[in-house]
Amino acid sequence: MRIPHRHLSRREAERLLDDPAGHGSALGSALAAAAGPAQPGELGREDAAAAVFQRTAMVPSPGDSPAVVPVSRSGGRAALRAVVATSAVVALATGGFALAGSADLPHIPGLPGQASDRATESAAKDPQSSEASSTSDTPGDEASETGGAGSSGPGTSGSSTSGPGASGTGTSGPGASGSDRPPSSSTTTSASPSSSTPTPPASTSSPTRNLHGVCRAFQATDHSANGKSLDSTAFAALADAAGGADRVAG
Amino acid sequence: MLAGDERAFRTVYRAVHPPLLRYLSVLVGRSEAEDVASEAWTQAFRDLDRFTGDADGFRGWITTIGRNRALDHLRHARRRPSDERTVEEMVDLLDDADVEGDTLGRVTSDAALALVASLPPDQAEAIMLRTVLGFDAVTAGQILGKSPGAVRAASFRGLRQLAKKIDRHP
Repeated sequence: MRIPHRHLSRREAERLLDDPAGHGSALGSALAAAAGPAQPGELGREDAAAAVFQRTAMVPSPGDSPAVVPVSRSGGRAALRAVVATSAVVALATGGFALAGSADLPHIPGLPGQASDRATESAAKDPQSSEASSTSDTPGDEASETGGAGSSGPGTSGSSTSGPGASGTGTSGPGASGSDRPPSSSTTTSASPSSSTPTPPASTSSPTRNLHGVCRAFQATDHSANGKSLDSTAFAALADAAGGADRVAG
Repeated sequence: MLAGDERAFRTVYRAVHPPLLRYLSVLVGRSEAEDVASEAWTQAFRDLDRFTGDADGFRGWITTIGRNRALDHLRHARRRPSDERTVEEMVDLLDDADVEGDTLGRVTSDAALALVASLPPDQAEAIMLRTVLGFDAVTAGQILGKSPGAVRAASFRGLRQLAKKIDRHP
């Protein structure tokens, strides 16, 4: 049965959209065909997707996994230095906010302060290109942008360049920071300026998620790097969750 | 799946991926849709700890991610791909197949998708989200950044166009 288009009312259109197959028209059949059962070819990349899922999403969720932060081992000092290096990497990814809070950070191979400055400058100078290169895709990204902008007040340490800049830096940042950690860390940690206040993470969910990101950044870092900026806010949150700075292991 | 269970992931993937792929193919063309969908999944895995919600919420979430990836893709390609087949050929394909039957084959599905893809993008998207992905006007509006009324209007215009295309070729 064909329904001439001139007879298609809005009400009829809604019925068609709700139940194309039940409409009994050629148009309904065409729409039903478009929504037909999955074809084998459409699932050809399932195994590949599952492999990526295993690699990317198997990091235990924050709620049930204090084990994300490994418990202590004897080499506490080395671990602390590694975490400091991590916070510097996080600082790079987030526009240098944490690095600015640690003036006595020595020049570390692979983590030069100049690189951080350049990253911060470029993010600040050229917000347009940062935004263009950022992957402002998900509702979550928008949330992190909002959080970043909100955190640029006097309360946060250093020159937070806010979410968009940080996220843009994160996209191209790993090269500058000399780290091979995956973009996931920077994406997740880009929200950290908004919550890395001196107070420990409370019951809200976003600090936990940020902590998760910091922890992932930590795990992906070259732990042999040196550093001693122990008062980084990003680190403080991580150490708090671990039950003390000396309980964070590399 | 949110806890990292691969079996759960595969269940979700088999339900979510085919419609997502069809929607993306209307946006970026069949040849690119798989890559765009893979990018969307990868990003979803990465940001999984940010997601809260139920199964429908997840479908909406990954569809939004996929759409943004597709729009990024189009911005780089600077054009929307078009099917080289004519509308008449697609309608022929639809007519040749047993569209009233229970088994709707790949050819039929492809031809129907190509017909929808021949519509202006806003109409094609609205129809895909409403029918193939099964979202209501409110959810589709959230994904498209439009009001539900605008989604209803776009899908209505699209349906009239489709009906014309099919009518014109009895």
